[in-house]
Amino acid sequence: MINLLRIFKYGFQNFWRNGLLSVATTLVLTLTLFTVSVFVAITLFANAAVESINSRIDVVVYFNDETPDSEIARIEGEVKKLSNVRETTYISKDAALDKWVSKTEDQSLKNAITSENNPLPRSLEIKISDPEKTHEVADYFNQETIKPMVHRVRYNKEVIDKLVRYTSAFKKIGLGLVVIFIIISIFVVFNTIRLAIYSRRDEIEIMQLVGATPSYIRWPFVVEGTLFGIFAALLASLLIIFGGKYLFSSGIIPATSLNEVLNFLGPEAAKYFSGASASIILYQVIVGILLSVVCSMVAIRRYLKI
Amino acid sequence: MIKFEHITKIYNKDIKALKDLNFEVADGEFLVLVGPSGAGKSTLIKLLICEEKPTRGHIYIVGKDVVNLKAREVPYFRRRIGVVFQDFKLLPKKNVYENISFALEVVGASSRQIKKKVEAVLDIVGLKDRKENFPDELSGGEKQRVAIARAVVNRPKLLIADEPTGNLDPKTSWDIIRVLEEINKRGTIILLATHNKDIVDRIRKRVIKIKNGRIVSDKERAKY
Repeated sequence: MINLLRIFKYGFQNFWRNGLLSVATTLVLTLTLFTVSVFVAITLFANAAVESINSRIDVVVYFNDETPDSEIARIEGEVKKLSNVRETTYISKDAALDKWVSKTEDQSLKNAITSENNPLPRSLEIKISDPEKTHEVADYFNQETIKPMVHRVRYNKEVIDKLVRYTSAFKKIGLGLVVIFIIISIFVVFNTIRLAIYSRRDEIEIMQLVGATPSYIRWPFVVEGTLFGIFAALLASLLIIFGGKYLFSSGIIPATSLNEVLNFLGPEAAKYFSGASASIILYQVIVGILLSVVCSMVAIRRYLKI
Repeated sequence: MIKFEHITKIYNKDIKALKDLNFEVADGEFLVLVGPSGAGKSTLIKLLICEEKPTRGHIYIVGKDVVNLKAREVPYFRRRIGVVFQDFKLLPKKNVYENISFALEVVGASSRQIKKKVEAVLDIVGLKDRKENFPDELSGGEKQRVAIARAVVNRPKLLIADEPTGNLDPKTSWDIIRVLEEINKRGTIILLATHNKDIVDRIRKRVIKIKNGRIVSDKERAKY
């Protein structure tokens, strides 16, 4: 019990008395947490944006007027079974007309089409889950038995191809950078803590000389490491929160643009991001403490000879 | 009592630091260890504080064979011996009182016990009025007294002093030797390793001379 109190006392005392070194270590850890968090957040945000754009990609199939409704229903059933298809919507002639009327502002054009004289084709709107596999749907409609019933298949091949290329490249680069960044950060933090412990190797030697057990020597360093982690996580969180607020309030990033993006991405994304920013603080505290404690434990092993 | 039995320490094929050392030190004895640099004095001390293990042989300290000590037993063994060095090895960020008290904190003593024991030992080394000072504010002799106080505050059976006067002027050196003699009178075995001919010649204690890892002479009330 006495030892436990002393371990905490010395952990705090060392943190305080090594002033400059503690500040330096905490700052390195802060910058590490801050940069990694910002990077992870940007990657998550971008990925969510990409996903949301992906989910908007439709293929629209227009049918010939001669094709019977029963055939269209059969085709819809088959298309639904394709692994890549998320959702299908059948647009009847009446529904197509409603759409036309609501979209068209010119009265004379509106009147040009009536329910008795309706040239608008029936269509099937298909939502695709993975734009990289759009060709599955295309292949289906290219079959000899299906082709004659179809007037036209509309899917913007170029846009889809570009999107597929960019998003997969973006995901790979983003993930790679995050991994590289985390590795560099671990090395920087480890080295900083190792230097902090190196500067106190005499103290460790003397403690061993007077008969301190290895755990009695180690634990104050762990307490100190925990303090580094907590302070760094708090600083990094403050930096993110106030830095973000400043970016918006100063107009560097117009606040409306964020709202626009969130509106575009839909309510689920907005909820996701507000949840993520709360958990980012929690993650930073956990990662900060874990990182500095593990680094302390590994670094001190060198100086504990027994 | 300390007993060295056939102690040999070989670092590698060519460097034999100690060759078949045999000697005994009785309780309450004051033993001086002399010999040129590289003779094996430092190795002998490292063996005594379990920093290194001998290649062959046994060392008994107060009846315990320290050669076979397990790693986790070493800290507890070290609490029973005190060591002082030429370079004092004080913690610069702790004041005199804290430098001594932390040797007691390590063994889990209560704050009241610590206060009592530190005050007592400061009295022995004559530093009662300096306990608030930091090492930087002390003279060399005062630093060495703090180091001695730290080494004996746990009331060890054995105090090892490795060149304790190496950094001190002759007068201060004598003060330190007086402190060691005082501690010896209270029943602690003193093992003093030194180069200082003047001191060896004047204190007239048992002197063991080591050369090339062997004992070349072992005499009571001897000169350098």
